[in-house]
Amino acid sequence: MEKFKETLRKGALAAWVDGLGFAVAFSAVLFALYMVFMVVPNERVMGPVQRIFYFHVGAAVACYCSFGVVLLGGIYYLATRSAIAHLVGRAAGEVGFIFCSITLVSGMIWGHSAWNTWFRWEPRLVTFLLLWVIFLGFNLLNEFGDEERLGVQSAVLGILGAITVPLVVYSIQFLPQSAQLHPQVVGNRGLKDASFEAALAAGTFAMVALQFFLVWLRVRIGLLEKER
Amino acid sequence: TVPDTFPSLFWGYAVIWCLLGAYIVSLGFRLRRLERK
Repeated sequence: MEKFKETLRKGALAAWVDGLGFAVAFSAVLFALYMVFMVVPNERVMGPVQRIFYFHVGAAVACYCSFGVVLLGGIYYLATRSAIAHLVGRAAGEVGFIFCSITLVSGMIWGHSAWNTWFRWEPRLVTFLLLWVIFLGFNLLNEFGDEERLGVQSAVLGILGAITVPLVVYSIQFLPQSAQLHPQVVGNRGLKDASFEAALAAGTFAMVALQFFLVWLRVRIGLLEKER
Repeated sequence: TVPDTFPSLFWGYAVIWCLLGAYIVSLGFRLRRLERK
């Protein structure tokens, strides 16, 4: 009976967190879309396509947050061999890969319009592609890897992938701006209008909130799969 | 004149929300199936 009550309590708590997470993420996304399409003016040089920026950067920040969770989960797993740490790392790696893909593809579509090329072999784009490939490998390993050794292998690969993030962030400084297409907007305070900054904050918060909500859902799925 | 780059904006947002939407729906179905078992 006590066990049943405990399960019921856990189920109710999970449902409550589900509802709260969904409400926060959904309203944040709606508010960000309102800011991007109803408040922010057209950018002078690029026109409407510049509106990809707010969710492109938001998705990049969300994937960095996910990979931060992978790093913490991996370190904790190697220290304690905790099954939960492995589950959290795996969930964050999967969600982070989705946001990484969104950043890459939305950037390519925007780049095709603004730079007239889908991709260019310059530091920021190449290091981000490297990050994407590492986490593609991370997800393939977790899907098809040897169950007995999966925990350690996944933790090590996750940590390796996560420490690539600072390389991606600072890669923009490897070459002068004149030698690369990808701009250094935020670092150079390049947003000319206050509404641009507000929309960027809204888009980033929305994507990060959505990312944490999805990691939570993916962890719940992992726990339920373990119980079966 | 502001350049007409609306088609690229449309495809950019279509990719972002189709990818995210498909992933969210797949998570929802998986969660519901597991909770029913």
